Amino acid sequence: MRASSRLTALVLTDGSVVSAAFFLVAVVLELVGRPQVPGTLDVSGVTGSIGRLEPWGWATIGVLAAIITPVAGLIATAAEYRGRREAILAAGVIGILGISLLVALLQQ
Amino acid sequence: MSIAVGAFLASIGAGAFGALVGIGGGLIIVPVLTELLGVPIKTAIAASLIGVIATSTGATSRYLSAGLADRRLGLMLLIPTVAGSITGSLLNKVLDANVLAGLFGLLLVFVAVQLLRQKKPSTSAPLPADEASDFVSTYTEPTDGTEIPYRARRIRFGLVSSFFAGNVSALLGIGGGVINVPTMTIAMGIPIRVATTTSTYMLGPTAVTSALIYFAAGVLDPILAGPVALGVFIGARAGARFSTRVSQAGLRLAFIGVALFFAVQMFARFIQNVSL
Repeated sequence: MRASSRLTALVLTDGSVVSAAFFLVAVVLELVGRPQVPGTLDVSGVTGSIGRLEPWGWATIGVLAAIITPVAGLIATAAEYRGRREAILAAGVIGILGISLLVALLQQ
Repeated sequence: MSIAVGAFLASIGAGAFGALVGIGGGLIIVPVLTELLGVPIKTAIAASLIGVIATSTGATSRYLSAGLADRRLGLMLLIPTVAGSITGSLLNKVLDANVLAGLFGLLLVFVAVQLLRQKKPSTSAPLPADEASDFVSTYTEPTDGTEIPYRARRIRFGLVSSFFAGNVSALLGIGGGVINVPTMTIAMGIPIRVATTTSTYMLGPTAVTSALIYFAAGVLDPILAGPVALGVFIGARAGARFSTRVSQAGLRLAFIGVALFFAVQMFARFIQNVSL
Protein backbone atom coordinates (compact mmCIF):
# COMPACT_ATOMS: atom_id res chain seq x y z
CA MET A 1 0.00 0.00 0.00
CA ARG A 2 1.29 3.46 -0.94
CA ALA A 3 1.79 6.04 1.78
CA SER A 4 0.46 9.55 1.34
CA SER A 5 2.90 11.83 -0.45
CA ARG A 6 1.15 15.04 0.56
CA LEU A 7 3.77 16.16 3.09
CA THR A 8 6.71 15.49 0.73
CA ALA A 9 4.95 17.29 -2.14
CA LEU A 10 4.20 20.25 0.14
CA VAL A 11 7.79 20.46 1.39
CA LEU A 12 9.20 20.30 -2.16
CA THR A 13 6.75 22.89 -3.49
CA ASP A 14 7.38 25.32 -0.63
CA GLY A 15 11.14 24.83 -0.88
CA SER A 16 11.10 25.46 -4.64
CA VAL A 17 9.05 28.63 -4.21
CA VAL A 18 11.27 29.96 -1.41
CA SER A 19 14.55 29.29 -3.26
CA ALA A 20 13.11 30.69 -6.53
CA ALA A 21 12.01 33.84 -4.64
CA PHE A 22 15.54 34.34 -3.25
CA PHE A 23 17.03 33.82 -6.72
CA LEU A 24 14.52 36.25 -8.21
CA VAL A 25 15.53 38.95 -5.72
CA ALA A 26 19.20 38.28 -6.58
CA VAL A 27 18.53 38.59 -10.32
CA VAL A 28 16.52 41.80 -9.85
CA LEU A 29 19.29 43.30 -7.68
CA GLU A 30 21.77 42.30 -10.37
CA LEU A 31 19.63 43.94 -13.07
CA VAL A 32 19.33 47.23 -11.12
CA GLY A 33 23.12 47.29 -10.81
CA ARG A 34 23.70 46.49 -7.14
CA PRO A 35 27.37 45.68 -6.47
CA GLN A 36 28.44 42.05 -6.95
CA VAL A 37 30.64 41.68 -3.89
CA PRO A 38 31.30 38.06 -2.96
CA GLY A 39 31.11 37.82 0.82
CA THR A 40 32.49 35.26 3.23
CA LEU A 41 30.53 32.03 3.52
CA ASP A 42 29.45 32.33 7.14
CA VAL A 43 26.31 33.54 8.93
CA SER A 44 27.44 37.14 9.40
CA GLY A 45 28.85 37.34 5.86
CA VAL A 46 25.61 36.12 4.26
CA THR A 47 23.21 38.09 6.50
CA GLY A 48 25.31 41.25 6.06
CA SER A 49 25.20 40.89 2.29
CA ILE A 50 21.43 40.30 2.38
CA GLY A 51 20.99 43.42 4.55
CA ARG A 52 23.06 45.51 2.12
CA LEU A 53 20.82 44.24 -0.73
CA GLU A 54 23.72 42.63 -2.58
CA PRO A 55 22.95 39.90 -5.16
CA TRP A 56 25.57 37.58 -3.61
CA GLY A 57 23.80 37.29 -0.25
CA TRP A 58 20.38 36.67 -1.81
CA ALA A 59 21.76 34.15 -4.29
CA THR A 60 23.67 32.37 -1.51
CA ILE A 61 20.56 32.02 0.67
CA GLY A 62 18.74 30.78 -2.45
CA VAL A 63 21.42 28.14 -3.04
CA LEU A 64 21.16 27.04 0.59
CA ALA A 65 17.35 26.84 0.33
CA ALA A 66 17.68 24.83 -2.91
CA ILE A 67 20.14 22.41 -1.25
CA ILE A 68 18.02 21.98 1.89
CA THR A 69 14.75 21.33 -0.01
CA PRO A 70 15.43 17.77 -1.30
CA VAL A 71 16.85 16.81 2.11
CA ALA A 72 13.69 18.12 3.78
CA GLY A 73 11.72 16.13 1.19
CA LEU A 74 13.55 12.95 2.20
CA ILE A 75 12.82 13.64 5.89
CA ALA A 76 9.14 14.13 5.00
CA THR A 77 9.19 10.85 3.05
CA ALA A 78 10.70 9.02 6.03
CA ALA A 79 7.94 10.45 8.22
CA GLU A 80 5.21 9.43 5.75
CA TYR A 81 6.54 5.85 5.57
CA ARG A 82 7.24 5.62 9.32
CA GLY A 83 7.93 2.03 10.38
CA ARG A 84 8.22 0.71 6.81
CA ARG A 85 11.13 -0.27 4.57
CA GLU A 86 10.94 3.00 2.61
CA ALA A 87 11.60 4.97 5.80
CA ILE A 88 14.83 3.00 6.31
CA LEU A 89 15.83 3.63 2.69
CA ALA A 90 15.14 7.38 3.08
CA ALA A 91 17.20 7.39 6.29
CA GLY A 92 20.00 5.62 4.41
CA VAL A 93 20.01 8.28 1.68
CA ILE A 94 20.05 11.03 4.32
CA GLY A 95 22.97 9.22 5.98
CA ILE A 96 24.99 9.23 2.74
CA LEU A 97 24.12 12.91 2.27
CA GLY A 98 25.56 13.39 5.76
CA ILE A 99 28.78 11.76 4.54
CA SER A 100 28.90 14.18 1.60
CA LEU A 101 28.50 17.07 4.06
CA LEU A 102 31.42 15.66 6.04
CA VAL A 103 33.49 15.38 2.84
CA ALA A 104 32.52 18.98 1.99
CA LEU A 105 33.56 20.27 5.42
CA LEU A 106 36.85 18.38 5.29
CA GLN A 107 37.64 20.07 1.97
CA GLN A 108 37.16 23.58 3.34
CA MET B 1 25.32 42.63 -20.15
CA SER B 2 26.89 40.84 -17.17
CA ILE B 3 27.59 37.10 -17.13
CA ALA B 4 24.81 36.60 -14.56
CA VAL B 5 22.20 38.25 -16.78
CA GLY B 6 23.52 36.37 -19.82
CA ALA B 7 23.39 33.12 -17.84
CA PHE B 8 19.81 33.87 -16.77
CA LEU B 9 18.64 34.43 -20.34
CA ALA B 10 20.60 31.46 -21.69
CA SER B 11 19.22 29.23 -18.91
CA ILE B 12 15.63 30.10 -19.81
CA GLY B 13 16.37 28.94 -23.36
CA ALA B 14 18.26 25.85 -22.18
CA GLY B 15 15.50 24.90 -19.73
CA ALA B 16 12.78 25.33 -22.37
CA PHE B 17 14.75 23.44 -25.01
CA GLY B 18 15.57 20.65 -22.55
CA ALA B 19 11.92 20.28 -21.53
CA LEU B 20 10.75 20.31 -25.16
CA VAL B 21 13.21 17.58 -26.16
CA GLY B 22 12.70 15.66 -22.90
CA ILE B 23 16.19 15.96 -21.43
CA GLY B 24 17.52 17.96 -18.49
CA GLY B 25 18.73 21.53 -18.89
CA GLY B 26 22.23 20.65 -17.64
CA LEU B 27 23.19 19.01 -20.92
CA ILE B 28 22.72 22.35 -22.66
CA ILE B 29 23.50 24.87 -19.94
CA VAL B 30 27.05 23.64 -19.25
CA PRO B 31 28.24 24.02 -22.88
CA VAL B 32 26.36 27.33 -23.23
CA LEU B 33 28.04 28.75 -20.11
CA THR B 34 31.50 27.53 -21.09
CA GLU B 35 31.51 27.97 -24.87
CA LEU B 36 29.32 31.08 -25.25
CA LEU B 37 29.82 32.97 -21.98
CA GLY B 38 33.40 31.91 -21.16
CA VAL B 39 32.60 30.51 -17.70
CA PRO B 40 35.20 27.99 -16.39
CA ILE B 41 33.80 24.48 -16.85
CA LYS B 42 33.99 23.49 -13.17
CA THR B 43 32.04 26.63 -12.16
CA ALA B 44 29.50 25.93 -14.93
CA ILE B 45 29.06 22.33 -13.74
CA ALA B 46 28.46 23.45 -10.14
CA ALA B 47 25.95 26.12 -11.24
CA SER B 48 24.17 23.61 -13.46
CA LEU B 49 23.66 21.28 -10.48
CA ILE B 50 21.67 23.98 -8.65
CA GLY B 51 19.51 24.21 -11.78
CA VAL B 52 19.08 20.42 -11.66
CA ILE B 53 17.89 20.66 -8.03
CA ALA B 54 15.43 23.46 -8.86
CA THR B 55 13.99 21.54 -11.82
CA SER B 56 13.74 18.29 -9.84
CA THR B 57 12.03 19.72 -6.76
CA GLY B 58 9.60 21.76 -8.85
CA ALA B 59 8.52 18.79 -10.98
CA THR B 60 8.64 16.06 -8.29
CA SER B 61 5.91 17.61 -6.17
CA ARG B 62 3.55 17.41 -9.17
CA TYR B 63 4.61 13.83 -10.00
CA LEU B 64 4.12 12.69 -6.40
CA SER B 65 0.68 14.26 -6.23
CA ALA B 66 -0.24 12.45 -9.47
CA GLY B 67 1.13 9.14 -8.10
CA LEU B 68 3.53 8.76 -11.02
CA ALA B 69 6.95 8.59 -9.29
CA ASP B 70 7.81 5.27 -7.61
CA ARG B 71 9.35 6.44 -4.34
CA ARG B 72 10.25 2.97 -3.14
CA LEU B 73 12.23 2.21 -6.29
CA GLY B 74 13.66 5.74 -6.35
CA LEU B 75 14.86 5.56 -2.74
CA MET B 76 16.51 2.20 -3.31
CA LEU B 77 18.34 3.44 -6.41
CA LEU B 78 19.21 6.71 -4.66
CA ILE B 79 21.53 4.98 -2.19
CA PRO B 80 24.14 4.00 -4.83
CA THR B 81 23.41 7.16 -6.83
CA VAL B 82 24.29 9.57 -4.02
CA ALA B 83 27.33 7.44 -3.16
CA GLY B 84 28.40 7.70 -6.82
CA SER B 85 27.82 11.42 -6.67
CA ILE B 86 30.36 11.76 -3.85
CA THR B 87 33.04 9.92 -5.86
CA GLY B 88 32.13 11.94 -8.98
CA SER B 89 32.59 15.22 -7.09
CA LEU B 90 36.00 14.12 -5.85
CA LEU B 91 36.96 13.01 -9.37
CA ASN B 92 35.86 16.40 -10.74
CA LYS B 93 38.24 18.06 -8.31
CA VAL B 94 41.31 16.15 -9.50
CA LEU B 95 40.54 16.09 -13.23
CA ASP B 96 41.85 18.82 -15.51
CA ALA B 97 39.18 21.22 -16.87
CA ASN B 98 40.09 20.30 -20.47
CA VAL B 99 39.63 16.60 -19.73
CA LEU B 100 36.19 17.43 -18.34
CA ALA B 101 35.43 19.31 -21.57
CA GLY B 102 36.44 16.22 -23.56
CA LEU B 103 34.26 13.98 -21.37
CA PHE B 104 31.34 16.37 -21.77
CA GLY B 105 31.83 16.27 -25.53
CA LEU B 106 31.65 12.47 -25.39
CA LEU B 107 28.45 12.66 -23.33
CA LEU B 108 26.85 15.00 -25.88
CA VAL B 109 27.71 12.61 -28.72
CA PHE B 110 26.30 9.69 -26.68
CA VAL B 111 22.99 11.51 -26.07
CA ALA B 112 22.78 12.64 -29.72
CA VAL B 113 23.27 9.03 -30.89
CA GLN B 114 20.65 7.80 -28.40
CA LEU B 115 18.17 10.35 -29.75
CA LEU B 116 19.00 9.38 -33.34
CA ARG B 117 18.46 5.69 -32.66
CA GLN B 118 15.28 6.46 -30.71
CA LYS B 119 15.11 3.01 -29.22
CA LYS B 120 11.65 2.23 -27.97
CA PRO B 121 11.77 1.33 -24.28
CA SER B 122 10.50 -2.11 -23.40
CA THR B 123 7.41 -2.51 -21.31
CA SER B 124 7.43 -4.67 -18.23
CA ALA B 125 7.45 -8.28 -19.38
CA PRO B 126 6.54 -11.31 -17.24
CA LEU B 127 9.48 -12.39 -15.15
CA PRO B 128 11.19 -15.76 -15.05
CA ALA B 129 11.09 -17.29 -11.57
CA ASP B 130 14.75 -16.64 -10.81
CA GLU B 131 14.38 -12.93 -11.56
CA ALA B 132 11.28 -12.34 -9.50
CA SER B 133 11.49 -9.31 -7.26
CA ASP B 134 9.14 -7.83 -4.72
CA PHE B 135 9.21 -4.46 -6.48
CA VAL B 136 5.69 -4.75 -7.82
CA SER B 137 3.54 -1.68 -8.25
CA THR B 138 0.97 0.05 -10.44
CA TYR B 139 0.43 3.52 -11.82
CA THR B 140 -2.48 5.24 -13.50
CA GLU B 141 -1.67 6.43 -17.02
CA PRO B 142 -2.79 10.08 -17.10
CA THR B 143 -3.64 10.08 -20.82
CA ASP B 144 -6.36 7.41 -20.62
CA GLY B 145 -6.83 6.65 -16.92
CA THR B 146 -5.89 2.95 -17.17
CA GLU B 147 -4.11 1.30 -14.26
CA ILE B 148 -0.86 -0.30 -15.44
CA PRO B 149 0.94 -2.90 -13.30
CA TYR B 150 4.71 -3.32 -13.50
CA ARG B 151 7.51 -5.15 -11.75
CA ALA B 152 11.13 -4.07 -11.46
CA ARG B 153 13.67 -6.68 -12.56
CA ARG B 154 17.48 -6.84 -12.64
CA ILE B 155 17.67 -4.86 -9.41
CA ARG B 156 21.41 -5.47 -8.96
CA PHE B 157 22.14 -4.11 -12.43
CA GLY B 158 20.00 -1.07 -11.59
CA LEU B 159 21.98 -0.45 -8.41
CA VAL B 160 25.34 -0.61 -10.22
CA SER B 161 24.09 1.57 -13.06
CA SER B 162 22.74 4.11 -10.55
CA PHE B 163 26.17 4.42 -8.94
CA PHE B 164 27.57 5.22 -12.40
CA ALA B 165 24.74 7.73 -13.04
CA GLY B 166 25.52 9.54 -9.78
CA ASN B 167 29.17 9.64 -10.74
CA VAL B 168 28.48 11.18 -14.15
CA SER B 169 25.94 13.62 -12.70
CA ALA B 170 28.43 15.03 -10.21
CA LEU B 171 31.37 14.91 -12.61
CA LEU B 172 29.63 16.75 -15.48
CA GLY B 173 26.79 18.68 -13.79
CA ILE B 174 23.89 16.87 -15.43
CA GLY B 175 20.86 15.26 -13.84
CA GLY B 176 21.78 11.66 -14.61
CA GLY B 177 18.50 10.92 -16.38
CA VAL B 178 20.41 10.04 -19.56
CA ILE B 179 21.62 6.93 -17.71
CA ASN B 180 18.80 6.37 -15.20
CA VAL B 181 15.90 6.41 -17.64
CA PRO B 182 17.33 3.85 -20.15
CA THR B 183 18.43 1.66 -17.23
CA MET B 184 14.96 1.65 -15.73
CA THR B 185 13.05 1.22 -19.00
CA ILE B 186 15.28 -1.12 -20.99
CA ALA B 187 17.06 -3.13 -18.28
CA MET B 188 14.62 -3.05 -15.38
CA GLY B 189 11.33 -3.17 -17.30
CA ILE B 190 9.85 -0.04 -15.73
CA PRO B 191 7.27 1.82 -17.87
CA ILE B 192 8.69 5.02 -19.40
CA ARG B 193 6.22 7.25 -17.52
CA VAL B 194 7.31 5.87 -14.14
CA ALA B 195 11.00 5.82 -15.16
CA THR B 196 11.13 9.50 -16.14
CA THR B 197 9.21 10.69 -13.08
CA THR B 198 11.18 8.46 -10.69
CA SER B 199 14.41 9.66 -12.29
CA THR B 200 13.31 13.28 -11.76
CA TYR B 201 12.54 12.43 -8.11
CA MET B 202 16.12 11.10 -7.77
CA LEU B 203 17.82 14.11 -9.38
CA GLY B 204 17.37 16.48 -6.44
CA PRO B 205 19.13 14.45 -3.70
CA THR B 206 21.79 13.34 -6.23
CA ALA B 207 22.65 16.93 -7.17
CA VAL B 208 22.56 18.04 -3.51
CA THR B 209 25.41 15.65 -2.73
CA SER B 210 27.80 17.18 -5.25
CA ALA B 211 26.49 20.75 -4.80
CA LEU B 212 27.43 20.55 -1.11
CA ILE B 213 30.97 19.49 -1.96
CA TYR B 214 31.39 22.15 -4.70
CA PHE B 215 29.88 24.84 -2.45
CA ALA B 216 32.31 24.11 0.37
CA ALA B 217 35.23 23.94 -2.07
CA GLY B 218 34.36 27.43 -3.38
CA VAL B 219 33.65 26.17 -6.92
CA LEU B 220 29.93 26.95 -6.72
CA ASP B 221 29.41 30.67 -7.41
CA PRO B 222 25.95 31.74 -6.11
CA ILE B 223 26.00 34.84 -8.37
CA LEU B 224 26.01 32.47 -11.35
CA ALA B 225 24.05 29.56 -9.84
CA GLY B 226 21.06 31.76 -8.84
CA PRO B 227 20.27 33.06 -12.33
CA VAL B 228 20.97 29.61 -13.83
CA ALA B 229 18.56 27.87 -11.42
CA LEU B 230 15.85 30.48 -11.88
CA GLY B 231 16.28 30.54 -15.65
CA VAL B 232 16.23 26.74 -16.05
CA PHE B 233 13.21 26.52 -13.73
CA ILE B 234 11.23 29.15 -15.70
CA GLY B 235 12.34 27.75 -19.05
CA ALA B 236 11.50 24.15 -18.14
CA ARG B 237 7.97 25.11 -17.06
CA ALA B 238 7.41 27.09 -20.25
CA GLY B 239 8.88 24.29 -22.38
CA ALA B 240 6.71 21.63 -20.74
CA ARG B 241 3.61 23.77 -21.42
CA PHE B 242 4.38 24.07 -25.13
CA SER B 243 5.80 20.57 -25.66
CA THR B 244 2.60 19.21 -27.18
CA ARG B 245 2.31 22.08 -29.69
CA VAL B 246 5.64 21.74 -31.45
CA SER B 247 7.10 19.05 -33.69
CA GLN B 248 9.05 16.61 -31.51
CA ALA B 249 10.95 15.20 -34.50
CA GLY B 250 12.12 18.67 -35.57
CA LEU B 251 13.13 19.55 -32.02
CA ARG B 252 15.04 16.32 -31.64
CA LEU B 253 16.96 17.01 -34.83
CA ALA B 254 17.65 20.57 -33.66
CA PHE B 255 18.96 19.23 -30.36
CA ILE B 256 21.20 16.72 -32.13
CA GLY B 257 22.62 19.59 -34.20
CA VAL B 258 23.23 21.77 -31.14
CA ALA B 259 24.71 18.86 -29.15
CA LEU B 260 27.12 17.95 -31.95
CA PHE B 261 28.11 21.62 -32.40
CA PHE B 262 29.04 21.91 -28.71
CA ALA B 263 30.67 18.47 -28.75
CA VAL B 264 33.02 19.63 -31.54
CA GLN B 265 33.85 22.81 -29.56
CA MET B 266 34.61 20.81 -26.44
CA PHE B 267 36.67 18.19 -28.26
CA ALA B 268 38.63 21.01 -29.93
CA ARG B 269 39.41 22.51 -26.54
CA PHE B 270 40.46 19.12 -25.23
CA ILE B 271 42.75 18.43 -28.20
CA GLN B 272 44.31 21.92 -28.14
CA ASN B 273 45.07 21.93 -24.43
CA VAL B 274 45.76 18.37 -23.41
CA SER B 275 48.99 16.73 -24.43
CA LEU B 276 48.57 12.99 -24.30
